[in-house]
Amino acid sequence: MYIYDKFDQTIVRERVAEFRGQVQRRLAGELSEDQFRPLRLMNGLYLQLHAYMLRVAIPYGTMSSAQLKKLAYIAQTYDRGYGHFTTRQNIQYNWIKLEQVPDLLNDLAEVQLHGIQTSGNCIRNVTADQFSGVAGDEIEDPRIVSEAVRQWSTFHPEFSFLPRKFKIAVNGAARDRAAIQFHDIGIQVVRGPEGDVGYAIYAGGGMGRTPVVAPLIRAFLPKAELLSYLEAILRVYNRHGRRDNIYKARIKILVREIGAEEFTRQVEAEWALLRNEGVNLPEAEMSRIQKFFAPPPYEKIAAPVVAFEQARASNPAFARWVETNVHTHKVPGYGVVTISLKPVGGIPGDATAEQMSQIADLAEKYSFAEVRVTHVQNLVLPNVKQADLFAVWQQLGKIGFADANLGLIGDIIACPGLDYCALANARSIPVAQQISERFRTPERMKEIGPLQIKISGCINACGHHHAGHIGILGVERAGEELYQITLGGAGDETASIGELLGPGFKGDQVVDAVEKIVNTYIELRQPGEEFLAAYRRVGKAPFKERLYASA
Amino acid sequence: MADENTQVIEPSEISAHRRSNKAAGGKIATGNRLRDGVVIYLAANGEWTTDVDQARRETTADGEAALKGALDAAFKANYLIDAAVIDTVPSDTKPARLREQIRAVGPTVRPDLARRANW
Ligand code: SF4
Repeated sequence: MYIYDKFDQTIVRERVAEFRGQVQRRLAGELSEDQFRPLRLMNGLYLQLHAYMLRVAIPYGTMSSAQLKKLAYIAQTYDRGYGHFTTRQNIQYNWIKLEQVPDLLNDLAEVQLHGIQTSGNCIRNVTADQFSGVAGDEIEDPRIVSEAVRQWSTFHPEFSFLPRKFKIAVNGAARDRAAIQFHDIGIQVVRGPEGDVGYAIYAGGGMGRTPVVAPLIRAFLPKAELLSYLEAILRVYNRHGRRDNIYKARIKILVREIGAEEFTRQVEAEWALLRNEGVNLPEAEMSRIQKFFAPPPYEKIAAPVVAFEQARASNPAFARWVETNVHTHKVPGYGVVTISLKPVGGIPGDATAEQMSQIADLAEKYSFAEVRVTHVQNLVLPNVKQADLFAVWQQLGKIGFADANLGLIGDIIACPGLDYCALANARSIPVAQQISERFRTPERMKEIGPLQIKISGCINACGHHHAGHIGILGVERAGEELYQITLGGAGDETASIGELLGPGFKGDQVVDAVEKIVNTYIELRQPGEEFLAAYRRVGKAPFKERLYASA
Repeated sequence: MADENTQVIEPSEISAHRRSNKAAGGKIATGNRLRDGVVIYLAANGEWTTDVDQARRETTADGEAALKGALDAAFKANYLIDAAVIDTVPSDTKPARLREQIRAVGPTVRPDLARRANW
C-alpha cells in the first residue's frame, strides 16, 4: 500500500488546520453560507436531508486495516454508528455535525484519510479495479498509475476549477471491473505490439442525465507518457468545455459535440506541445511508487489445500459462498474474498462501526492488513489463504456478511436515494430491499445466474442504473414515486447503456415487474446463456410484451 | 449522493424541489441548523424546534410572509441554512411531500433512528 510521504502528510494536516479556521469563522458569523459552502464542499462536506454528510476518499479503493479501523471509529464517535460505501469507492457518513468536523478530520488525517477531491469541479478521487494486484488476468497493478494520477491531480492548480467534476478510472486486467468506459477518462492497461506495457485511453464517458460510453481515443500510449497525455486531455476540456450550462459541462458533451475524431486531434496537438515539457513522471518516482505495491510475502502453498477442500465438500453453504464470493488469486493457495455488504433485506453498502472493525480485524489476521472497496458497494479481503477461508466465512457469518450473492440478483447497487439525499426524487433503498427479499433463496439466485440490478433515486445516476443489466431509476410523478426500468446496460468491457422498457411502475409494483423480467429471461434463455447475453440476443420486445401485457 | 452531483446544484435547485403542492393545506417553515445540520421548524412560540408537531402552521398569505420573515432573520443570524417554507396536509403540520416527511421523521429504512412515529 502507498504510504504518504511528508509532503502529502503536510498537505493534509495544513488543510485540516485551514478548514478548522473556516468552520470557526462560519460559526462565529464571519463567513456567510455563500462564502462557506464552496469551502466545505472542497473538504467533502455536503448538506443532505437530515444533516451534513461527509464523504471520505479512499483512493482507488485500497485501504489498510488501520484505516478501516479509523473509519469505524469515526462512525462510532461522530456519526450514528454506521457508514455507507458508495459506487465511487468512498465512504459517506450521514449524520455529521459541522462543529465536530475539524476534530473528525484531524482524526482521519492520522491515518492519511480526508475528504479532499470528493466534491467540486476538480479531478476527483481516482477509482480502480478492486482486485488490483491479485487478479489472475492482470497485466499490471493499476494502483501504481492510480497513485501517480492521485499525486498529479491533487490540488493541480490548472485543473481546480474545471467546467465540471472530472472522474478518472483505471483498470489493469482483461476484465473491466472499474467501469472505465463510464468515466471522463478511462485508462486500460494493455500490451503494445512489442509486448510492452502501456495504456489504452478512453475519454468522454459518463452516466447522469446523458449517459455516454466513452470512445477509445488512443489505442496505445507508452507508459512513461501518461501524465502528459492526461494533461493534454484536461487542457482541451478546460479550454472548450461549456461553462454556461451545468447540464452540458461534462467532457462527454464536448466529445460528442465536436466528435471523437476532432477531440482526439486536438488532444494529440496539445500533447505534441506538452510531452517534452516535464509533465511526465520521472522513472525514479514511478519505481518509488511501484515499490509500495510490491506483493506481500506470500507463502508457497502446495495444492490441493486439504482442509479447505474438505470444508467445501462437507458444507454446502460454505461451498456456495466460495463459488460466488471467492475469486481466483494469482498466487496458488490464496483466494480473493469479496464480502457482500448486501445481506437479504439489508441496505446496500451500509456497514456498522462494529462490522467495519471486525472486518479490519479479519484483514489484519488473514489478508496482510489490506481491504478494498468495490464500486458495487462491497468490501474485499484480497489475500486470504485457502486454508483460512472457512474461518473467515464463519467470522463473516457472525457479523451478518456471509451472503453468497456476489454478482447475483441479491448483489444490488442502490444509491442513498430519497431516504438521505437532498437531490433525490424517489427512494432507492426500499426497492433494493424488496427485490433482495423476493429473490432471497440461494436456489433461486443460482437458477437466475449472473444478473446485476442497479438503482438510482434520480437522474444523476449515482446508482449506475444505466449500466445495470436491469436498471431502475426513481422519478417523481404527481407527487408520487415512480420507477422506470431499463434493460441491457453493462459496466464491463462490453459497456452499454440500458434501454427504457416503457412507462414506469409504482413503488409496490417494481418487484413484480422485476420478477416478470426474470421469468421471461428464464423461459427464453438458451442453455448456459446469462441474462445480459440473452437480452442482447433477443432485444427488449419479449420483455416489454410480458411486462405490459395485461396492463 | 453516492456519486454526488450534489455540489453545484445545492441551494437554489433544492428550493425548486420544494415546489408548491396545489392542494396545500398550510405552510410551515423549516431549515437545517447551521452548527449541526439538524432539521428544525419554526415553532408556534417563536423558537426553533426539531419536532414537526410543534411547528407553527399558517394558512394565510400574511402568515406565510411571517414564516418567511422568521426564516430570513434566522438565516441572517447564521442560525440555519437551506431555509424553506413548505406545504403541509390540510389541518395538520404533516408535510405534504414525501421528501419533507422523510426529513421530519428520518430515513424510512432506519425506523430505529426515527424522530417520531411515521404518519
Ligand atoms: S442518484 Fe440522485 S438520489 Fe441517488 S444519490 Fe445520486 S443525487 Fe442522490
